[in-house]
Amino acid sequence: MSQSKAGSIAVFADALISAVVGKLERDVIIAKVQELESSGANLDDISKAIRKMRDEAIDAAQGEIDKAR
Amino acid sequence: MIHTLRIVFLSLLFLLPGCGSLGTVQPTPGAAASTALPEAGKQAQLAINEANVTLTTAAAVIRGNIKDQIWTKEQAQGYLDKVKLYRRDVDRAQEAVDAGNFINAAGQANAVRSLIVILHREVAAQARKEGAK
Repeated sequence: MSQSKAGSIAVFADALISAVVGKLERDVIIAKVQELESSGANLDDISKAIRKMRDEAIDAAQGEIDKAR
Repeated sequence: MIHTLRIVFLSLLFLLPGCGSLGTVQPTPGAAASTALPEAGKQAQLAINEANVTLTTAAAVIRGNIKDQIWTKEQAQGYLDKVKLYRRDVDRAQEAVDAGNFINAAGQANAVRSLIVILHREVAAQARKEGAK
């Protein structure tokens, strides 16, 4: 399995994600990218998947804020 | 305990080697060989992807800090509003890529990514401030 794309994103986000929100969060992003790669996804597919993860993360943060007092 | 660890992590955040890469666009060797985009478009798309990964991370940090009651609702909303603002900018860069305007797209993506890095630094500074209270 080629890990070049996932590896690059990992290098970019590794310290940030690992330090702040933990390894699990990082693994979720990288695993999803690797899953796409192994299924033959191209850059367009991967870009769309990253955008989806971004929007879900923002929605989740907004949901948490809305729940807070 | 979790609160303390989070503050320590946030304080260390920008001292970590990997965080130095936040200020520059990292090349992605071998990325998307099958894509139909020309090289300039591919580089613009990779810059956009990196910005989106950073926004995803920022949102996760905000979620964690409000969930653990490190920030007030107002503080968290303020930061998330900035993330949403930057998302809009990144989406504009994406539209430029989709329209074939790769030079503008790369410039926009890199510019907004710089702003996202500033936001992260604000977040870390604020967390340190809260931790010192």
